[in-house]
Amino acid sequence: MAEDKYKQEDLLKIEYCPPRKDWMDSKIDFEAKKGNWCYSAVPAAMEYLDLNTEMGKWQPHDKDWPLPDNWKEIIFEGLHDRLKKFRTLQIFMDICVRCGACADKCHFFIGSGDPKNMPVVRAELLRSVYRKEYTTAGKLLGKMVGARELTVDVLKEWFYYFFQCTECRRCSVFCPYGIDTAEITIIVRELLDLVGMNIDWITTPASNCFRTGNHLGIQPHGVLDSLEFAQEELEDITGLKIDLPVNRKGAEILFIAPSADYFANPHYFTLLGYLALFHEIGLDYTWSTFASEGGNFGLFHSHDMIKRLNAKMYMEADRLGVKWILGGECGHMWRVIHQYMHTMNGERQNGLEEPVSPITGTKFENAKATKMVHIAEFTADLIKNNKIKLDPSRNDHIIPTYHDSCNPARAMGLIEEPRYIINAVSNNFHEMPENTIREQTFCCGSGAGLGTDENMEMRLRGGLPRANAVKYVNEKHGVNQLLCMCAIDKATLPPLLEYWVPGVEVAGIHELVGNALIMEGAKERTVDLREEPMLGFDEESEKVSAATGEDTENV
Amino acid sequence: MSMKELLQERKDSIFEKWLDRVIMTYPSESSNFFKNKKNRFDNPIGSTLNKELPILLDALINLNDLDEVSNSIDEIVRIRAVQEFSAAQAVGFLLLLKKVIREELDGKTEISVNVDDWWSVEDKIDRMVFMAFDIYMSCKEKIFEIRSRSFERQTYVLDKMAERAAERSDKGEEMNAN
Ligand code: SF4
Ligand code: SF4
Repeated sequence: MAEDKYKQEDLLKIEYCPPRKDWMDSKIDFEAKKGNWCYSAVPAAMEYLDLNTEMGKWQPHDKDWPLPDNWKEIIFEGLHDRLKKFRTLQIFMDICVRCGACADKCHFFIGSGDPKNMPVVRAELLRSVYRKEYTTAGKLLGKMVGARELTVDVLKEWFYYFFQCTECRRCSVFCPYGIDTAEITIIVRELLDLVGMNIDWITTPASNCFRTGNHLGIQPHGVLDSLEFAQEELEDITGLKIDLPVNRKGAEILFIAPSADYFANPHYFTLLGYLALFHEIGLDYTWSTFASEGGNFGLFHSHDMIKRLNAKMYMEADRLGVKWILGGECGHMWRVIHQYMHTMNGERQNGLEEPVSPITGTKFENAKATKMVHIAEFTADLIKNNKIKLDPSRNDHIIPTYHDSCNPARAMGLIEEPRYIINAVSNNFHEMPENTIREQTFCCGSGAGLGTDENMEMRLRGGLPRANAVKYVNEKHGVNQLLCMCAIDKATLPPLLEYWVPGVEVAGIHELVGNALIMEGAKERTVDLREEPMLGFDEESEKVSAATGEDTENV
Repeated sequence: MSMKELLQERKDSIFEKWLDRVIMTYPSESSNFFKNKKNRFDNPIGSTLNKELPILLDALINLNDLDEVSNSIDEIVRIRAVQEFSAAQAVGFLLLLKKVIREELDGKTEISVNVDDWWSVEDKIDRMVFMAFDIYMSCKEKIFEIRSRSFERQTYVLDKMAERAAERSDKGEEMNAN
């Protein structure tokens, strides 16, 4: 009866404060927390990657999780191995002084107020178990010194919170000891992987990648179809039949882009930009339908998986006989290349040489080890050496700001080059506030394999700090486009902005390069790469700007 | 003293207490951060509350047309709609204001307010709650729309290729027919 259920005095009690509880109290009610976690990995994908499939089909909201009987043993053995192998892990476990400098730096904490999203507490979820197992004080004094047993509830809590970290490393920028919580997340995810606990949005793309060379599972002819389609579209826009070298042996450079560039919106417009640029400078290069993915979801699995998925880049470079590799606009791809590739797969670099731009003669000394150059470095160098003609007024309908994607900015320090390019192709660039860009950039809230749909609420609140800064420049300067150079950003920022700052679109840097690029022999341009009209570019004004290309070239 | 004068006089203290109560709907470990971190980009939730709650309080005292504050309600509810709150908790922050005002009057015998005035204040708060609930629902609908649209974005090129193929086959048929 309703009267029994709702007493008047209860209704008058207006209090919505959550009860205070000990942070070690770890029971997560997955059923009640839908929207905050991701679906589990499907066994077929796990099997394809030779991962533990003992858990079979399960979902986080199931009451009992079908863990292998010896799950605890597996976890401790795994932890033991990793403590021996990674000195960083051992150090990160021991040296945190709980100063709290990192506590309020995580976008998930800022957007939720959940204390377990404070990086220091996130790390404590593992550290508490480590203390109990490895330290005398922890063994003897338990909870008093922040040590606790590894139980099924703790394991579930790991699953919940370590798939609520985007491995963005913002917290590490503020830690006086350089503790990198992202690395702790990487290790815990490895441990979960060992007992067969992973999420579908990470495992299926990784298994696709292992099978076809790209996360989307597109087969070689599909990649080719898409590239040929792009070639046709560019002909419609520019009137030029651009070169499309695919799997061409003996090319000087192999170009590898994230696979979303072939198929998704707005990634695809960036791909049109690359094609136009390479045609215009007459680059001796090739695409590959096998190394058809720059990204590496292995990074969100384990170190072994990184190595396994990354190897194809050098193997394909070897097969095609190129001199070096140029890479497209992607985020975590560059974390892998910059931090792991040479160590993991360096011995496969047959015949590769230190990259030199064939157009400007610039030696990319920073890429001496990996033999792989980021397209932002490559294009910035072209502009610096006056090798391309640009008309930034062709982007006058766009008022851009720039989101530093976490990985290029924090993992490889690629901060000035993108800005240099943007300023050359746009007259209207506005920065977001200082504490939200460059090294301090706020994550999109959906990286490290969390960009799926079922956790949308979590993504939207995790992306709030980023969106909040975009909203500011939108209101202050009329910014209508958020530029970025990461495939995950291009997929996850549009929904984020649709919710928080409707009306602001997302685009890649090379899309704007493609708009501004003056191409020899091209027809008069009136539309941009999205086939949308460019401000003031009716046929008359285009004639003027094309005729005086020199006057309008780079700024 | 009229209700309006009273609220006007005690506005600052009501705001402080209301803000505290709203912040208390979050886990206690984060209240210090929400309350004291001043930079609006480092602390969007705290600064949104700091900016919008006084606007709502002002409207309660002075405005008859609450539509003018729907934007302020939106700013707060849009955030709460993606946090770990139930629908009631997401919009219930407005009801906390009733409690704060009651406490402000409670036991103060020197203050006597007209019952009609008090009811009109309560009515206004109730109206704000209804507005908040509509906004909450529109946020949830938006999230569903976003989910379906993100799928369309992933298949953008395939859809365009299919369109072009269809155009071509239409043209082909036309040519054959001629
Ligand atoms: S790496 Fe990023 S998401 Fe993970 S805890 Fe640190 S700030 Fe948060
Ligand atoms: S900033 Fe570093 S030392 Fe301080 S609490 Fe965070 S991880 Fe620990």
